[in-house]
Amino acid sequence: MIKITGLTKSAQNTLLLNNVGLELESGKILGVIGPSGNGKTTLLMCLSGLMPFDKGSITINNTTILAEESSARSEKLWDFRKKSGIVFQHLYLFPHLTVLGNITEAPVQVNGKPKAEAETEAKKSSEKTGA
Amino acid sequence: MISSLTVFPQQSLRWGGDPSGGAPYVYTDPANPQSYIGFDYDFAEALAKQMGMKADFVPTDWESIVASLQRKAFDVIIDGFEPTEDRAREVLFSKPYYLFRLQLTVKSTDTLIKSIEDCKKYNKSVGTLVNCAASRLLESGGYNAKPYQDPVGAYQDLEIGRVDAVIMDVAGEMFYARQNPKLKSAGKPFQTGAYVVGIRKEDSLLTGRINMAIDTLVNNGTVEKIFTKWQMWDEEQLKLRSVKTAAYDMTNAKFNWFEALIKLLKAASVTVLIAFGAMFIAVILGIPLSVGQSNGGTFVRALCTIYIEFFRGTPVLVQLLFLYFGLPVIGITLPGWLTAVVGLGLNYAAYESQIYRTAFQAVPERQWQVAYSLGMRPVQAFRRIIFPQAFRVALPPMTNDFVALFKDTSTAFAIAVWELATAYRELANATQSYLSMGLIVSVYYLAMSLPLAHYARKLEQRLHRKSTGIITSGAEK
Repeated sequence: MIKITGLTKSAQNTLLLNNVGLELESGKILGVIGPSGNGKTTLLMCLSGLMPFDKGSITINNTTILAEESSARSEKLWDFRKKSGIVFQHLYLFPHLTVLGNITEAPVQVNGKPKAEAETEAKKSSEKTGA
Repeated sequence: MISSLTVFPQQSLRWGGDPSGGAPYVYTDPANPQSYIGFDYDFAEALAKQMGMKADFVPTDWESIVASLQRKAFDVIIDGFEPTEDRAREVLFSKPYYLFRLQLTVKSTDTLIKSIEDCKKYNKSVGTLVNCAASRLLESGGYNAKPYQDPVGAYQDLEIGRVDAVIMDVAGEMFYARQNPKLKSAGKPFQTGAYVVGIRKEDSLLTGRINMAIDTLVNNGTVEKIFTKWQMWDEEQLKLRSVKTAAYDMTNAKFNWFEALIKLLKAASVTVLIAFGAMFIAVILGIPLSVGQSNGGTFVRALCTIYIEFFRGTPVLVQLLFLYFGLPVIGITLPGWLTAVVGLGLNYAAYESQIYRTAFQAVPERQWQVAYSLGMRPVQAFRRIIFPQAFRVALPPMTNDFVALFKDTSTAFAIAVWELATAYRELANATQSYLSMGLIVSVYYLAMSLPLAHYARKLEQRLHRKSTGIITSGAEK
C-alpha cells in the first residue's frame, strides 16, 4: 500500500510538487503522465527516499516518512529505501562490476543473502529474460 | 712593455672553481655579492697577470669539475685541486702552489676521537667533501665515510650529531670550523698534499707556461703574500721552492668493478626504501588533503590549497634542503634518509590529493543515488560503489607518480644520503666514466621502475576484466 499526503517540494524558488496526494492499494499499477518538467521524476525520487521534500508524508506499507525525516540520515530512511525500488530513466549500471555483480550487489550487500544463493537466483532470472 | 704595444686583445685564462661553500678558496664576497674573492681567486689573478693574460672566472660544480674541464667549459682548474692518481689519468698537473694538510674536527664534547684512526676503531662516521683527497683517503681506508657537497653542510651535521667527525683541508677547516665553540680539532693537522692547477691532457704547452709562472710567483714572494693575506702561510710552504712536481701517492686504490656493483646495489636499496616510504606518506596524507580541499570549510579549504600550491610550486630539492638544514634550527633533527622520506612524502602528497580529487569527481553523482536506491548506507555505498570506481581512475596517474618519485629520490644526494644517484656521481668521479657508469645506473633504475609499471598494468587489467566498463553519465530528468 502506498499513501502520499500533502507532498510539497520546491527547489531554487520553483515549486516542483504542490500538495500532491494519492493512495494506491497493493497490486495496482499507476501511470503518471504529464509534460516535461512538471514533476514526474521528482515524485518518483521522493517516493524512493532519494530526494528530501518540504511538506507532507509518504507511507509505504507501514513505514511512514515525514518531511523532516526525508533529509535526515536515519535507520528509518534506509529501511524505507529498501522497501521502494526505482528503475532509472537512463542505464545506471555499476561500471566496476560484472553484469552478475550488478544483479547480486544489493541482495548480498544490503540484504545479506549468501553470495552463491544470490548468484544462482540471478542466473535463473537472467534466463527468464533471455540474457 | 711588448704586451702593451700589441694590438691583439689580451688573451684570457678561463679558470674553473666552485664558489658554493667554497670559502676561502673562491666564494661570493659577502660585502659585494656581485663579485668573488678567495685565495684561489687571488692566485688565479696573479697567475694570469704573470702570463700576460686576463683571468676569467667560470663558476662550476666541484664534483664534476674534471668533466667540465674536458668539455672545455674553461681552460684550467684552480680550486684547491689536489693531484690524485685517478685524476692523473685525465688531466695534467702543474707544480704545486700551496702545500695543504688535513684536519680532523669533532664535537667539542667528544672525548673518544683523538685521531682519524679512532674513527675506524670505533666505527664512527666521518664526513668530508665529495671528490677530494680526503674522500679518497676515507674510501681507500675503508672508513664509514659521508660525502658532502659543501663544508657548511658537513660542519652543521657535525654540530647536531648527524656525523661523528669531519675531515677537511686546513684552509676550509680554519674558515668554517675553527671559530665554532661547539667544535674542536682532534689531533694535529696531518698528511701533506698539494694544490695544483689542473690542465687538459692535450695542453702541455699551457702547462709549461703555467709552471714557469708559478716558479716566478713562488720565488718573487707573490704566493707568500697571497697566503699570508689569507692567514694560511707557514714554514711548510718554503718547500714549494724545491718541489719539482707534485707527488700524488696519497691514494692509489684500484677501481674494483665488482665492488662498485655491490656498492650500487646497496645504494639502490636505499633508493627503494626512500621511494616506498615517501609514497606511503604521500598516499595517506593525500586523503585528508583532497577531502579538505573538496569538502572542508573556508578555512580548511584555504589551508589545504596553500599546502598543495606550496609543495607543487617550489622545487623538491629546495624543500629537502630546507628540511635538512632548516629544521635543526628549531630543534628537529632527522637523519638524512628520513628527511628524504618525509620531504618527498610531503611533496608527493600534494600531487596525490589532486589525483584523488579528480578521481572522485570522475564518478557520476548519480552513482550515489543508485546505491542509495538499493538501500545502501553512505559508508557502504562509498566502499562498494564509489571508491572502487574512483580507484580505477586514480591507479594509472598514481603509478605514474610512483615512477616519478623513484627518480626524484635522486634529489637526496643534496642532503648527503647515499642513494643511487649519489653513488653514481661518486663512482663516475672515481672512474671518470660518466657514460658507462651512467648506463649501469640506468639499468638499476629501470630494474626498479619497470616491474612497478608492469604490476600496475597487471592490476589495471585485472580490475578491468571484472567489470562491465559501461559508464553512463547521461542527464536524468
